[in-house]
Amino acid sequence: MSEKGVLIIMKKERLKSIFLAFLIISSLVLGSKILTEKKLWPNGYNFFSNANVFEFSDLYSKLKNYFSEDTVNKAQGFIPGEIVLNTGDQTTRISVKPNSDEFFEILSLSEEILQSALTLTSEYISDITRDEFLSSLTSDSVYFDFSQGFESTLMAEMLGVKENELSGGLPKKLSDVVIVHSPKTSVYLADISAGDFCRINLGKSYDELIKLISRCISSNENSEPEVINYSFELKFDRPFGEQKTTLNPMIRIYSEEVGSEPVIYSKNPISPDEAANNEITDSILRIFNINPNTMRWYTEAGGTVVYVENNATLKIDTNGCLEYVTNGQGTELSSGINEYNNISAISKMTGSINKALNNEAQMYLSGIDEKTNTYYFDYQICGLGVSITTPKLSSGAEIVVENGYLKSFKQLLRAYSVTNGYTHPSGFFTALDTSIANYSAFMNEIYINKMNLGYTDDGGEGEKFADWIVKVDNVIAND
Amino acid sequence: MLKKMLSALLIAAACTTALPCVGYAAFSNTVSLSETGTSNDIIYIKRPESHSASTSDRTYTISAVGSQGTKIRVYKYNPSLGYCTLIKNETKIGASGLYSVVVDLPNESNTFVVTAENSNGSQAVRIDINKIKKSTVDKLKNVTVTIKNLLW
Repeated sequence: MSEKGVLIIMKKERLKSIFLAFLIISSLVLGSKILTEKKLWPNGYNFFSNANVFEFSDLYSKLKNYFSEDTVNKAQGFIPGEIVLNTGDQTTRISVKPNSDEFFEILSLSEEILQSALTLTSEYISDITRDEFLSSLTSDSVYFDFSQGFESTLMAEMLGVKENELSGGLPKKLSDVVIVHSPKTSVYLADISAGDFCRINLGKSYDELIKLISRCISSNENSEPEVINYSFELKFDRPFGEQKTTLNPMIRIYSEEVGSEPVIYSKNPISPDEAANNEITDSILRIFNINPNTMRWYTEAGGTVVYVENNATLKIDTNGCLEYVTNGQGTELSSGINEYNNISAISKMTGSINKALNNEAQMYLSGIDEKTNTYYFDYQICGLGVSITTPKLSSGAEIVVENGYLKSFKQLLRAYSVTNGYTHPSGFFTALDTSIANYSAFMNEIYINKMNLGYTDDGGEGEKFADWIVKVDNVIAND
Repeated sequence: MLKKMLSALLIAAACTTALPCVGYAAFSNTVSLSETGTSNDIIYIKRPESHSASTSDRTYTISAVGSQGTKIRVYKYNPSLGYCTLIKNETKIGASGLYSVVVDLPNESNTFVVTAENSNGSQAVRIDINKIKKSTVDKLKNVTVTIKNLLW
């Protein structure tokens, strides 16, 4: 054979080798796709994508959750509805909402001060009168609105203070926190409804906080002043003569028109047609430890999709209302009966669901009912809360936990997004009068516990406009 | 004689009927500083409680309570004119019975007249707000704290 012939054979062999390598790589890529794509397997069963049934997978997810989401929990738990920077003057007083960077900067610096205050011995703590507490709001101070009300032990734990380190003589519950930062720092704590007030003198100044507050106030100087008064300043918290309406002393009153707020869009993220089989549903099922590939599911007559695995049932109705119920003991959330651990665990769940929904809104702990062991969470977007008014739910999520075990979990699944539109909310008194007009035919006295700007979601899809949300606490009817 | 008596009775009846109407006469765009109205219980000024106050701020919020439907206007005294001019247009008190208004304080001494009218009559209340230095306010606060501490 000639030299030329040998070269041709060698080239052919090389081409064959290249082609063979290409075929092997292709078979590996396509084969792996077939193995991992569950839809290609009968009845949705797939050994490989069922790998999380193994113990090591559970351990991995637990470790991952432990290390990755702790900061999210803290933010969701220890988050006031609003921070108000008091300057001693009503014109320069400003409200800082949770959609601003300053909000979290102030919160972070204040956490350090509160940690110190809560661990001081009783000689630094003194009981004070209601008027003394309220006067702290007319000086250079920072007010934190925790109107959802936390047990002081729980708030301490959220701040990283252990129960045995906590100083005595604090109000049992805390609804309002004030840090007076000038000339020296003092912390004022209150449970307004119980009439329990105390002051903790720290005796030193925290320059970083003072600098931050000065920066916030000076950056606000050029904008149109929005005069904020507390209800107690205008004496609306104390009835006089024929005055039928009394307001909580901490309600912030805007006597003039407030600025415009963004319009948001509310959408049920799970289309009723695809509820049974989509990525969002799968992610949500995994959060509840339900395996999307092994559980049983069926659709009820009304369109509600029901997923069943062992003792747990998870339903998602056509309006996006999720209901999870377990029979028997329930699903273990945390070891030991510790409220903080429970809140941490359920905060992780609500946070993960929100992540799965790809939601622009955040969820935060908005209330606790100790009698029924129910924790309430609500959505928050553009710095304003969303008030849920559907027949099934009056909060974004209602979660029942008993002895560290999750008993039931309800959530209105919503994907909120911010539109380009803006709207002017109605005037403070217009909204208050409209709300009270509903009762005025039969009421003798009315107490308004909370009034703040927010969005209302009745469950319908579409644009939502910011307006005043009035929470009536007590109505005394005519004789 | 009977005619005279009848005339007197008719005049008395007419006066009785007309008086509330006269009392309910709307305030115009200007009012005198001495205006008091026909009644003193149409509104109750909650802030400032004593109808006068001192502040270092450039605005002040006046608050009041009254019955639903009461019409409120706010006037500011102009010393060069010698009377008060309207600065806040008419507002009706709603179902809450609460009212508040923010007024600017451009001068050291600022005098306002808040007028209120409803079917029971009219009322005008004079309110004086003085502007003082912030350092004076702080000193006053310290004095208050010291007195409180002494009392305790």
